Amino acid sequence: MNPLSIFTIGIIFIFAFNTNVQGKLQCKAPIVDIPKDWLDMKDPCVKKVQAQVQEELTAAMTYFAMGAHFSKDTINRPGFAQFFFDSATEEREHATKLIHYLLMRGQLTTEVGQLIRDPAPLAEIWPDGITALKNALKLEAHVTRKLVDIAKICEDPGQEGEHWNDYHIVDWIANEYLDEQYKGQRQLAGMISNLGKMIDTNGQLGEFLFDKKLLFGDDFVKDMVTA
Amino acid sequence: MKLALLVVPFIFAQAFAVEHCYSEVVGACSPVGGGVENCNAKYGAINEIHKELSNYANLLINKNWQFLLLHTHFSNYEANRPGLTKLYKKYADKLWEDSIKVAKYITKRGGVTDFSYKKVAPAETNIENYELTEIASLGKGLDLWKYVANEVFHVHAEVGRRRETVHDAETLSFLENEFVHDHSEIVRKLSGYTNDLKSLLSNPNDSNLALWFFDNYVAKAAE
Ligand SMILES: [Fe+2]
Repeated sequence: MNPLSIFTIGIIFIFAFNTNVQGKLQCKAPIVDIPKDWLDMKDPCVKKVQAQVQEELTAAMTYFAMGAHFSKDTINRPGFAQFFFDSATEEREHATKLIHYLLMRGQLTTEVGQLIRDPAPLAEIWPDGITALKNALKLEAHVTRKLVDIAKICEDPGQEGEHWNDYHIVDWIANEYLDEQYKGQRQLAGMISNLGKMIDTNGQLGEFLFDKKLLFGDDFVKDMVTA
Repeated sequence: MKLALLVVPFIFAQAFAVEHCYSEVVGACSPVGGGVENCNAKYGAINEIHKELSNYANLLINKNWQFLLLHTHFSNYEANRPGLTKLYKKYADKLWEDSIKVAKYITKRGGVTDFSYKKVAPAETNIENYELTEIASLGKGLDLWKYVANEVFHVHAEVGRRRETVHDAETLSFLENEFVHDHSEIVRKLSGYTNDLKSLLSNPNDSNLALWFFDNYVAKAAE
């Protein structure tokens, strides 16, 4: 091989190497050594909160389906539909709030894909408004039991968690979630009570009027007359 | 006479075609009674496309969860990028609201949302691992939104055919006004971000500061 061809190969090599460097990006930020002492949530407690995300989203999708059902032209209950669509978005916010709590406590650094597993509605049709409301109340009671479970486990995660009481999350679940659960359940029970009485003797008319009340609020009679 | 025999049923058929609901209501009010199955909001090509629209609503719901999880990843203390967190949350919220819009639209036209009707999505629209770098997440986000945008074009093409039985002007207009324009804005923005970050990361000495600065910019722009 003559010196010229070696030189040429060298040039080609340097050129190829250079373009390679130019196209290469430094994409990954360095790993920083962050003290772990502050990460004090125990595993059984974390798992319970993570599982609750899917519970809230199943409720969200069930209310979404209720909203779609009562929107149908042949069902035509826009008040119920609006109530359930709003509830669906609220449930999605409950899930997001749980996620934010875990993040605040330094959790969810890996495998976040496991948190949300394609939540689906528990049903897609309901025979009438009162059945949907009763199902909603049962669903909320189920969600409440799951929340109480979180408080129980986080208060004493057992041996695996060295019997460590996580005061903050227990307090937070009670204040932020259980408070809203009990108030929401009371509201649903009251709605079922009123609607149940109205449809006892006046089935269709009762549901029609109740729907308009949901849609227009307390002044609904006035609104309908002046509309 | 022969002609009259041919014409009479034809006239009847015509009358029923436009007054189906009316005649059912009259029947229901008569001593015999009856149902009013044809009193519904269906017209145009809704029977042809309510499955397509259901699929689209389900797709938007699915993408909403993906962006919610991308937002989650960038919000952990190690990744800690408030700008990307905010951007992906904004997209997740939009996809969720849009899915409700589609479900409402289906019922506006007398259809039913089928929550289990999901066409198989291409593998590249899944996210196996959410622990992505900043630039990889932007690339993924761009691909996801392009898929969301192209799927609207697909439904649009279905109802945009000229054959009357499948043409649906109202659905065309709904898709254009509610989605098509928004999608082009988002795709353009994500492509711009990805290319910006590509140039910013090309100097290894700058990259860590560049990522920090870029994320702050995204936070500001996502407000
Ligand atoms: Fe909830």
